[in-house]
Amino acid sequence: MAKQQEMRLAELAERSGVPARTIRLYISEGLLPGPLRAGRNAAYGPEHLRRLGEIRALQGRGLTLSQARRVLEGAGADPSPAAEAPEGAVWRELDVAPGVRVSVKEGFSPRRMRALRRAIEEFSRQVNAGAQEGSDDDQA
Amino acid sequence: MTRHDGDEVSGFGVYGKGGPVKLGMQDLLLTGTVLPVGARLVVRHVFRSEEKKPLEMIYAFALPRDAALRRFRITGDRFEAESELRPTAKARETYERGIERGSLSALAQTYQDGVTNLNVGNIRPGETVTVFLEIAAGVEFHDDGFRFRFPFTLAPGYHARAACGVADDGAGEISLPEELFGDVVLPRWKADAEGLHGVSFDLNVAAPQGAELVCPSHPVSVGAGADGGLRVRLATAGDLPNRDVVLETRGSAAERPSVFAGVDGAGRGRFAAVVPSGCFGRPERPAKRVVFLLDHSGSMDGVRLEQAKAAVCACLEALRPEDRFGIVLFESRVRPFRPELLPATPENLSAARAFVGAVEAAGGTELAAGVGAAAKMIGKDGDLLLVTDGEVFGGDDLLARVRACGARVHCLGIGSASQDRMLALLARESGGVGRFLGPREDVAAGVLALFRGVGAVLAANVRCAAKGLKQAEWLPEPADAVREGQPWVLFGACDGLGDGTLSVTWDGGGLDIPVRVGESPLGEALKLVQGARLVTDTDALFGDAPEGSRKAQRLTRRLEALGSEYGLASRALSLVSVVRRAGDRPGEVPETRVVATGMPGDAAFNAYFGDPSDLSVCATPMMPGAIRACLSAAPGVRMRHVSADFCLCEDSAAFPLPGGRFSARTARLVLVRLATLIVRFAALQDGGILNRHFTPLRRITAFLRRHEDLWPVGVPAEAVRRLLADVERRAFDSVYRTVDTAALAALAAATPPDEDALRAALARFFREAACGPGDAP
Repeated sequence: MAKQQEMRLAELAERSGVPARTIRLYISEGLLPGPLRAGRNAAYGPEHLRRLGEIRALQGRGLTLSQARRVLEGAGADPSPAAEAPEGAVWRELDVAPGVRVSVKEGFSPRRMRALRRAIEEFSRQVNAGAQEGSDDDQA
Repeated sequence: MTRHDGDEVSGFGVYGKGGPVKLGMQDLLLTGTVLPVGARLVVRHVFRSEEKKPLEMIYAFALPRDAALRRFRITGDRFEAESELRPTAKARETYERGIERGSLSALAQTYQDGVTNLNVGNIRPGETVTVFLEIAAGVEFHDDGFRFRFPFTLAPGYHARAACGVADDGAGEISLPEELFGDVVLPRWKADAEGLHGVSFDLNVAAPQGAELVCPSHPVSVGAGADGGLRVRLATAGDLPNRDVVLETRGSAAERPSVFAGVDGAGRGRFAAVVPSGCFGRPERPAKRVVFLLDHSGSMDGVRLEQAKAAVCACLEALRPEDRFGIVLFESRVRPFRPELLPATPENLSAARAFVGAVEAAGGTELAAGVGAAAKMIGKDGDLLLVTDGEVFGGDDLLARVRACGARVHCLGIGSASQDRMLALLARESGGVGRFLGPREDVAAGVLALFRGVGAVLAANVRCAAKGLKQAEWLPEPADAVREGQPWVLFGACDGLGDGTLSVTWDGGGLDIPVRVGESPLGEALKLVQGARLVTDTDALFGDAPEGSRKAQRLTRRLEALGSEYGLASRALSLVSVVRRAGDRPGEVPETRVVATGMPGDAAFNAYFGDPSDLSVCATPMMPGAIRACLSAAPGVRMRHVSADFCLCEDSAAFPLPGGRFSARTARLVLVRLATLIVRFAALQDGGILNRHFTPLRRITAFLRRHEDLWPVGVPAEAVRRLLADVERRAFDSVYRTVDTAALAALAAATPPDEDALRAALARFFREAACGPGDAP
């Protein structure tokens, strides 16, 4: 990498709009690679700048740091992950009845997820009750 | 027989399966003086790096009500430095330059909602750094005393745009949108005690003469303190950061004004007056028009919702036939009982009780939407009684909306670690009154005290004038109306020493209060408490004003002016300090860590962060009845209702471990609780649920180790010690599964318990558990 493209942390913070403290946190959390060299001459390259843009975009879509990291790890081999990131999301598949499956995208807030889960449970009950012709022993 | 005290056994477990957990922040000690008008606190944080690299720690905490940071002192091996108060942007620059140079740097910055980040960077491997942070804070005023609350944990809050989930280490994680909240870092929330710092407190409380002092949150020991006050300390070696400390005084003279006065460091006279509502005459009790606004979001699940329902039902009982009422439920959606206000007829009340009784917890906390709907129902100048845990982020926006709707919002806060600051502001800004109750407190008594003040104004157009005090002024503007149960409070300043009178007048009445401003050190504390209140009020006005807007600039200037007058930080001013040490190595990037905190003791982890294992269990294709049976039997899975083991754990988490003195009955109950939990955990055989709920067990064993006198008679001490050690190592093998606790539980639940039978059952349990059922004689 050309020397002139290298920058110090303060410059990376300024160019990316991400505060230096946040960048350090990303490095420690494994979202961002560490500086190009250890020690006194620590410097960062265009790769860091690009990664920071990706992290921002993922956070803008409502992902936590851990969720963003999982997406970035999954999309690591992809040459243009910024554009592809939505496809990197994780889907859970729930079998609600024999032959019936519901897919739920990860990354909903837990409270939203609870509401969804309730709806799915209700759906599952109905589907199964239908299959059983009213032999429902589901009295709680 | 060895006594276990000191560091060997403590109330919190810091040892994980793979050896000691590395803690960046070791412990936190709250000290200082609590006065009936506010508190001057010093919080000691001990940071230590056990990493191979320099460490940068971020500790996120919530400010108490009406609070502001004053300064900090940072000490370490051969250095000591004081913080400087600088505009936030400058302070951050200084901090970053310090980090870049390899110097030890510390920055305390407050964001929206009073959330504060204390950053300490470049802690060297093996180095211990201590930060003493000074905070001025307000108290909740009651007619017969005051209530002080300090958050040891920052409760996870709701925001429609927050991202939240579970990190790889199992901790809960929340990120707030940067354009609204800046770069604030929130803690990670741990479901269990592992990897949490210890917390403790040692406070001097200036309780009024003859008043009773209670601590509903922690076991305390009380002794004589400085200046005639009471020294209130945590009675155990340490506790977990999973709830607020609450101290309350009761029973001081409720019919006389109290006055506090002194001279501050700059020679200016400072005074405060607290006038109980009883001084303003008898209440008239006009017919009430009130809408109950009940929060039943997911975070209210469990004890909180039960308390909230009990609170609303207690108020319904207190309504008279001429009163009119409404009920609005809210979570993500808003649901009224009826579209309009109803007369309090027996039929309506009975239907309302049934409506409230059927409420279940789910969804987000759309507080603003709830307040909006209730305000629409009651109209301007109406009374709302909001019952909530207040666990939301984004108080600025909410306060702006409440101001706009014009209704008085009276707040009953519920929960062990709630947003006291925001609810206090909400009540004050709307002209209402507010109270907070913890999970172990009597809801009915608390809410009725609050409810008496709803609707009935004791005095209107309250004004104040000073005689004999030079250049007297009051800030903030005192309330112009007085409500039953809520004292009228005034903070003022004047030039120098002197005697004078405050003339308080209102429609149809008046009162003279003598004030003597003498050479008392109280003056400086009064100044700080007054300043902290002004800073909080100004900070709450930002609303949704965008950064850089005229309004935001005006408020920032006001905060800067307050900062230079009172020496207090705010979102506009931060505290910073950089210490150059020999051998600082510039350019090295420290490892950045966020200090984890505990979940509020009365809240379920899953209510916020969910449990991924829930979904994988759902995926098994089964018949509906079988699914239900399977799910409710599976450990760690939560459906609509709470499983029995969960209840048990929550129950014992809330079980008060007594302070210095306790009755024989309490002691037996502690043992029974331990026995029941051991067998539960052994039967469940699930590491996950054990990890999540280990805290109460650990607390109980630590307590028992300190009190050998409680050990069951007739069991060898060695056997009991072995049992406690097993529990602490989480070694629940088959022995514990075969020991029967049914007899114990039945005896413990009976009131009054049969002491002899209980003692015999306990002795049998401990002998069997420690020796194995086969060996028991």
